[in-house]
Amino acid sequence: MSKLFIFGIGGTGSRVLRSLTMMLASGVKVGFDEVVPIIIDPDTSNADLTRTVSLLNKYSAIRSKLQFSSDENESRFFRTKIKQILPNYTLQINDTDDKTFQQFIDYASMTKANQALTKMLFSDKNLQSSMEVGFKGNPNIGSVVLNQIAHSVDFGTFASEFIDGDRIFIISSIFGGTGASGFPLLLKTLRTGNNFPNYNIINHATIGAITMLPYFKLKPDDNSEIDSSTFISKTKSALAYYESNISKNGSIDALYYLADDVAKSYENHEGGSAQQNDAHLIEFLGATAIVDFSNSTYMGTSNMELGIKDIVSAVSFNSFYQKMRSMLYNPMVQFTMMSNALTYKVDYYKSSTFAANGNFKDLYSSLFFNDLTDFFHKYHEWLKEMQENTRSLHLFNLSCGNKPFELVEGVKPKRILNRLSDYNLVTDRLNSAVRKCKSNGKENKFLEMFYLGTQRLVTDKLSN
Amino acid sequence: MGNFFGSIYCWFEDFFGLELADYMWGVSSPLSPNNSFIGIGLAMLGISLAMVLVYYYIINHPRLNNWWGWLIFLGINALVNFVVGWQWVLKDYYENKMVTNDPSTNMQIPLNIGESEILCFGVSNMILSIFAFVIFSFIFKWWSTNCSRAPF
Repeated sequence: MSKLFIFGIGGTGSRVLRSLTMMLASGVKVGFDEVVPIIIDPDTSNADLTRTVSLLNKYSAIRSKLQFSSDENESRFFRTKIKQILPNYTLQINDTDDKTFQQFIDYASMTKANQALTKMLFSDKNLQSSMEVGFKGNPNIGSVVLNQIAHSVDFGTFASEFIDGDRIFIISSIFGGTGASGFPLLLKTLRTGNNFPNYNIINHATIGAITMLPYFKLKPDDNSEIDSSTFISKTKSALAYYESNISKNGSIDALYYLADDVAKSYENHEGGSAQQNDAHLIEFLGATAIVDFSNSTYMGTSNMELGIKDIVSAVSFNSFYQKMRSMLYNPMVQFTMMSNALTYKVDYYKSSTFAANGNFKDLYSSLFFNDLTDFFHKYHEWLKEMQENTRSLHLFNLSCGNKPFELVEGVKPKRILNRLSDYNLVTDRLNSAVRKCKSNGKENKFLEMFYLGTQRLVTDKLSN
Repeated sequence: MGNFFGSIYCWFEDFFGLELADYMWGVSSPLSPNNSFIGIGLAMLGISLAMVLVYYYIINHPRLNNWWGWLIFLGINALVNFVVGWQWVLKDYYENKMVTNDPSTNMQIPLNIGESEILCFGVSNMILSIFAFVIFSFIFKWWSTNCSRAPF
């Protein structure tokens, strides 16, 4: 069974993984049965990372109760397995806690000549910078510290898991510190390294990456080392480096670029638990790049960008071109419909009035249902953050309340010949669907029922 | 069939009276020599079956999949059958069919059946229709998409 290994570097890596997890939950089709997320971030306490790890754990807990070994279970919700090979999905980076950069490189014990060379490459501010919360937008620091990755035990674990046919995808931002330095370094290690297991397979594996160009700003703060006014200049120099060292030398099979010229200013946090940026359209689109990569084949290096139909302040499904829309529309609408039903009408669906409940004895008091409810809460939070961000991703009408078919922004529900409407129609479809479920086990059947039911509802009421 | 329905209705003959029971059997009145239980019984069963099918397959509403939703239809069925049973017999009463021949005078004299006995027959028909509704419910509920768990 082939796997897709996804390295998420820095805060952006974690946030794109968050979006990808939501897409996998909704059943967006990826070309692999298993994905293996690996987060690379020295700032292990940053909230973007911890939130993503918590989401991945929740996904895995739900997925562990489901079986898709046969084709009997038609549901696509949570179908792709997220495999954990490292604790907290995170590749351990050593010696960054409570250390300044000069302590890390043992500056004090260097010869005079080496100290002079170091001074040419790193400012005093760089040298005295604490690395507890990452590299604070300094890729020159990151490129030194992250060199340890290839020799780490965790990287060895990754390499041992790698088999022929697996693929690798790397997520990074180009305008920060960790991602900008980590991506070229990691790619070089994967392509040329020879001191880890299966290096011969890994060296020749299909590797894709997404590099996020500036899509947000940070509010100016004299106490922070991160200054978003440098994002563009850092991006330009990094792009020049990528062109000659990544794209032109064919070391990557697919390189996706994403950016937006409309940028929101976030609070300026260098890292730690305060660094929790709201989910963003660009991260969402970054996740679609992974899906695209997993379903594509490449001959030589492909550089890719993404366009939308109209330059609008609020992007909806109608803003996407057909390929993107087809990838996302049905899975996300179905999943959102299910999450709304089990969030806003949960009392009804738990009650014995819901006829299908004869199949789901004790399900509602189980850990599985608790996890599912938590996941829906996180999903709604994610949608809301993207909707309120700039540029807004306004896919769903989150306040549709008792009108489940007024869910999709810009899509008017079709009229159909049926005496039932709204949630009564949803329930009717679910009750019909449960009779068609072929899967075994109440958890499988529960999600398959919602999958088949919402599939028919989307076709009948919300298709174009 | 006449015996079948007659014996069922006669569970209540103490309630609606022996004279009316005899009349319904068709043994006391020369103007009504046939077993009337067959017609009323078939009507009662037909109406109850129709109500069950309407509830489980025509209305089949997700919100009615509970004991009170089922009870509403049971109540409607009972009411309809009460009226049908009552009016069915009352019609004979007003048409003066409830008579018998007096052997001494060879004249037709009215049977000792009043409107209250006929009302009691309507109630008996209603009670039987409730049984029928319950039985039909447990036969047909399983294939209903939205109401298969009613009454429980």
